[in-house]
Amino acid sequence: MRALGKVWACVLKDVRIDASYRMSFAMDVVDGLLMFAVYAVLAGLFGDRSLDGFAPLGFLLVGVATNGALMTALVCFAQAVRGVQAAGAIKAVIATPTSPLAVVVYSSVYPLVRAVLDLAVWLVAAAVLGAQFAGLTAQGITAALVVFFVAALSMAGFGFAAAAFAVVFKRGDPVMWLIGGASMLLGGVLYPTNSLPPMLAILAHWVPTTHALHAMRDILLGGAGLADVAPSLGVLVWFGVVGVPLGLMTLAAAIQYARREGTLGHV
Amino acid sequence: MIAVHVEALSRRFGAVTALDDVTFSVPAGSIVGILGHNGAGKTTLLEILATLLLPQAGRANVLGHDVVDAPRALRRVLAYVPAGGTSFFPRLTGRQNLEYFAALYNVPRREWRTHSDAAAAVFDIADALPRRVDTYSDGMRQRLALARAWMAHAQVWLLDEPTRGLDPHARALTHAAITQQARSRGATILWSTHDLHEAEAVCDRVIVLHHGRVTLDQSTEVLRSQPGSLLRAYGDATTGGAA
Repeated sequence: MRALGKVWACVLKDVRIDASYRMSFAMDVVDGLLMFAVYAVLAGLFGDRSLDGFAPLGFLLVGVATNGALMTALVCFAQAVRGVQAAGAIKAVIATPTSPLAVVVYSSVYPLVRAVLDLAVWLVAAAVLGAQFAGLTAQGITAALVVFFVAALSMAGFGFAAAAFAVVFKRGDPVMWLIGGASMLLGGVLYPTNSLPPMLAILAHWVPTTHALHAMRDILLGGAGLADVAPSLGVLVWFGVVGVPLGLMTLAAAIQYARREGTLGHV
Repeated sequence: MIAVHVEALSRRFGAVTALDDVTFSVPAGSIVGILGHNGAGKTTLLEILATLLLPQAGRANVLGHDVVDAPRALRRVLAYVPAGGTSFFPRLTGRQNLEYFAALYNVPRREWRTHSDAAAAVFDIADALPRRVDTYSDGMRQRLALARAWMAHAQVWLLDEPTRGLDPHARALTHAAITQQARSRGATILWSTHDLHEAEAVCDRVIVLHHGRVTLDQSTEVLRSQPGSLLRAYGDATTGGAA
């Protein structure tokens, strides 16, 4: 129960801070609309061609929206660290009885919930524009949510590593650069992975986004069930099972390093 | 019962020696002033005890919890007020900040509000709770930091210049509230300050650090018996005249 209370406290804090930046929220909405329009126009260029068996509009918008939400799962832990660093509150937070790792995890809840809402808005807008969603049923939505949360977990290991980087180096984020770049290039966000050169197509299997997008498109656009996407789901679970403990250990080691070097409070 | 025990503690930052072979013990329920010039090692000492910094040599424990081996257990008995009072989320109100930290201090959700209000009342900051922290003066932030520490109901308080930036009224309130913590709840207070009068008035004992070494460790009762003696002792301790 205490953990739930702490999650709620972190969500409240983040919602309140977000709400205090009204202009930023408005700009996010405008930015989202512009990006949506860009991809809708881009889909139109493909005409009647199918991408991986799906109509271009649905393929692109599911890819871009899901990838955007997964990037949130990648950066939210580092953002949580940077948020307390920038406020100068990191020492006060760490000196409480709540584990710093727990604070980082609890602070990811709000951005992840917001990412799911953003994803839903994009998909609804895509449907309004004429994208065909065979999986827009209660069962399909549930399956898509399961896939998204497993995919977010598969990204969390990298996300904890990014947070560790923020603890030690404060600025710059090679993890985001590497995984974000690999997702865009190899993950099949804008084009099917089978259109990649053979070497890159092999590398694509090592990017969680590839498997997440396959599963999400199969469910939302193709009407597949969870059993149909089990192979992709299995790979994502594997990424999570291996990556999350490794990422948490990296973050714990980074905090210990900062305690040793005396840089915990540096911004 | 010993609340804080520090033994041969040393810490360097590059070529700078922040703490050099520091040893002392603090009995439970006492208020100890940590005095010294800027850079004498006061903050380093408190940060090691608050588990925010690791020592390079020596040992320290708080109520038996080692700062290196048992940081989580130690944080359960500790309240720490960092210097400067900037340790809040500026775009949240004072109350929202206190409620967030109440959760991290394991206060049940239904009691966040009452704990925050009670803590704010003790340090005379209740009227400002609905305002955002970025509208606070330095002194108000300092009082909010003390209110946050109060919510921890800790057995040991580590206060890094807690009265910096406070007006005389707030300073007197802070002295009274913290003294009350020590006297009625048996809390142990380590209080870093530059103010000799404050140390003499509030503390049971003073420890003077100079270039990272303890150069004076004396009961204030003894010092009070001779007017001006703390000033003289401090002068000696920070110019190499005492050891």
